[in-house]
Amino acid sequence: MKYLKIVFINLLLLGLGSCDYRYGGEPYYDYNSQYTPVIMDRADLEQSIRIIGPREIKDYGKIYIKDSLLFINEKFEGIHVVDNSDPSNPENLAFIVIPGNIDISILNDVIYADNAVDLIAIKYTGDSVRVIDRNRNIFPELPAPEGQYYSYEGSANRPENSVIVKWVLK
Amino acid sequence: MKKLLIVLFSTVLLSSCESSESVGTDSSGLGQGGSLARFAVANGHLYTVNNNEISVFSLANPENPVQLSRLNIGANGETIFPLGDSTIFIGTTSGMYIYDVSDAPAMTLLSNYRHVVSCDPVVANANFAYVTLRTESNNFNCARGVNQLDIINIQDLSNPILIGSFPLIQPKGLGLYGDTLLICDKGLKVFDVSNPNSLVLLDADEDFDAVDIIPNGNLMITVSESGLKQYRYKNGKLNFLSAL
Repeated sequence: MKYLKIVFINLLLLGLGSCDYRYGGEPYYDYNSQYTPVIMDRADLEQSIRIIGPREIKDYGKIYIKDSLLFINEKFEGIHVVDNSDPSNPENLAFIVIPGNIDISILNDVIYADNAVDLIAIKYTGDSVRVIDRNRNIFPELPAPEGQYYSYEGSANRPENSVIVKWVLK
Repeated sequence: MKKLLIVLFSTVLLSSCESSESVGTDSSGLGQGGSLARFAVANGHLYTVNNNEISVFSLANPENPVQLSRLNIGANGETIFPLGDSTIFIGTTSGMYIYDVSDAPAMTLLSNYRHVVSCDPVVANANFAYVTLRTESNNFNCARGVNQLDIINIQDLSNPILIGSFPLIQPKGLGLYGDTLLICDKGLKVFDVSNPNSLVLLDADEDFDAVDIIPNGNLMITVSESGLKQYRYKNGKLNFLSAL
């Protein structure tokens, strides 16, 4: 009877676990979270910061204002830069791509941002963005959206030097 | 009695300063985040909170932040609110922690106001801290069935005293503008908190599921998961300016 129970539980777990072959064909299993992590090579992460033209804002995250510029985080994707010198008519200027980004803070002309597990310092000049400093592995890995205690199986199969930049609904 | 008068008088002075309607550049070089921020710059240092850890970075050279220390706070930290140069408030799922950071990177825990497990940002002025407690059914870090605002007397930062708890629907971010408290609670709600024992609702926009707010002078910038809305706040009323 006890064995039957164990077999039954294992079958349940097998059923729950889904297999995801994104990013280099490495399978990831997730028995707990409804979400699956998106993984990026560290080398790619460190080359990922760039500026693109204004784009539609979605998944609005945190907001930050510095003088007449308003910064709107798009969860885990980066920061929209908005000219707010006339709050009746804000103008979307640009999007700074920062994988894994949630928070920023600004002192003078330096933007501090989380780039997944790293803290980066960047300078935004209006038409360019430059990473001027990077502190690696400052933050814990991005937890599953349901909370930090949710996890996924298969983390042992992760490629070396990779980071979770977001979680997506399975 | 004399002491009481002095305290009352300085309270009036403080609140009149905070009611200033000036909007514009900040000579400190600092910007302003919402109450859900996990990053804060105070006293030449950058503070970040993540899970149970606070990291302190020197910004002596702002272009090269250097991590000086890490502190395990023994609680699940979610938000940082700096007050002046020497105090930071950490909102955690188990309570509000007040640290003296005047001797950064050293952090001295002044007090810990404990509450039922919930998700809770905090904002404060010299006299009171305002903590919203929120329940989220899909996040077991904060699923204990409490949705309220706690007003806490913090004139003695080492000895916070609960003044009152006020029921809300599902509060998220909040912001202070003088004696006016704006709470994202199934909409944006504006309360007069000049009397900390009673909360007076002045105005509300319930068409917008606001998540966080930045009071930038009397410009109120609020964000939901699907948009941004700005208002000019005057005489107890929110005047809509724009949506993005």
